[in-house]
Amino acid sequence: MFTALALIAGALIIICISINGQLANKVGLIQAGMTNFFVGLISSIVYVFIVSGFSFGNLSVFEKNIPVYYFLGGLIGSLIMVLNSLVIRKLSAVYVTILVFLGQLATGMVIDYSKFRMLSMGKIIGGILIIVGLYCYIKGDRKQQEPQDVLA
Amino acid sequence: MMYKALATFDGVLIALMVAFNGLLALHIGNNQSLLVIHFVGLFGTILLLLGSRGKLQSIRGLQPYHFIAGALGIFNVLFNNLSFSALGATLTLSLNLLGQLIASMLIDHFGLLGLALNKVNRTKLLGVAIMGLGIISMIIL
Repeated sequence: MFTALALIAGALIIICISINGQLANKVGLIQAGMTNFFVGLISSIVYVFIVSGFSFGNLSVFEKNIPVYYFLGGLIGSLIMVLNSLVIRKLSAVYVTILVFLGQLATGMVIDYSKFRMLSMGKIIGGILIIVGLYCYIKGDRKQQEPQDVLA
Repeated sequence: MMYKALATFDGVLIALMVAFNGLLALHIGNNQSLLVIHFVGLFGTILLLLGSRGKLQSIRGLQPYHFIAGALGIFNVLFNNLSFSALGATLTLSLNLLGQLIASMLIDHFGLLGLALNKVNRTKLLGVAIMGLGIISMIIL
């Protein structure tokens, strides 16, 4: 169930990046990102309004003691957008795709271990297999186009 | 070398973003976190625009579909947050990658979204299969 959700989330990334790339060609990278977050904010408001039964009853955000950096995801997202466009111009698709995933994998394992004490041999073997599979896929992609998987 | 380090750092940031978003959702709820994440992201891009001394471009001539990415993006964030709380960061990120490759393979195969046709071949399928094995190893071992 959650496996399927994460797979669909990945597929959505590709669709969003394709559309966003076309938008960025027209209005520039940063404004395209701004448009995305703006439309995303409006959509979130509509979505939340619908799923919470057409009322914004109990939406308090600051009641609990939460580390401030938990709130920075959106900010990091806008940095990622800029960083992506920078490295894609300078490195080949193979390098970008694999290096970005290596960074994700290593950090993901540190996070899983420090937050949930989850780290298994299977994760490490799985990570290596994924990188081998990724390399194989890119080799098979004759277009050798720019990588599409680096924005989350 | 510097750009290789930057690309790796990019991956680190993606993992941190997915984790922070997921942890935020665990603490304040899925709906609330959607609102906060997009508000903070909008704020971030406005800062970037001001910092780069960029000017806003006219949005005349844009097609309605140009604006859909933002709306689809909320489900990306929502699904990742749900998945993160159940599966953790490593598995969520790995499944994201596999989903991306399968989607781009299909888009290329059928030439969707105005992209050039690029048929599926054995090497690509083999790559996806090996990645699938990696996912299974992460789940069961």
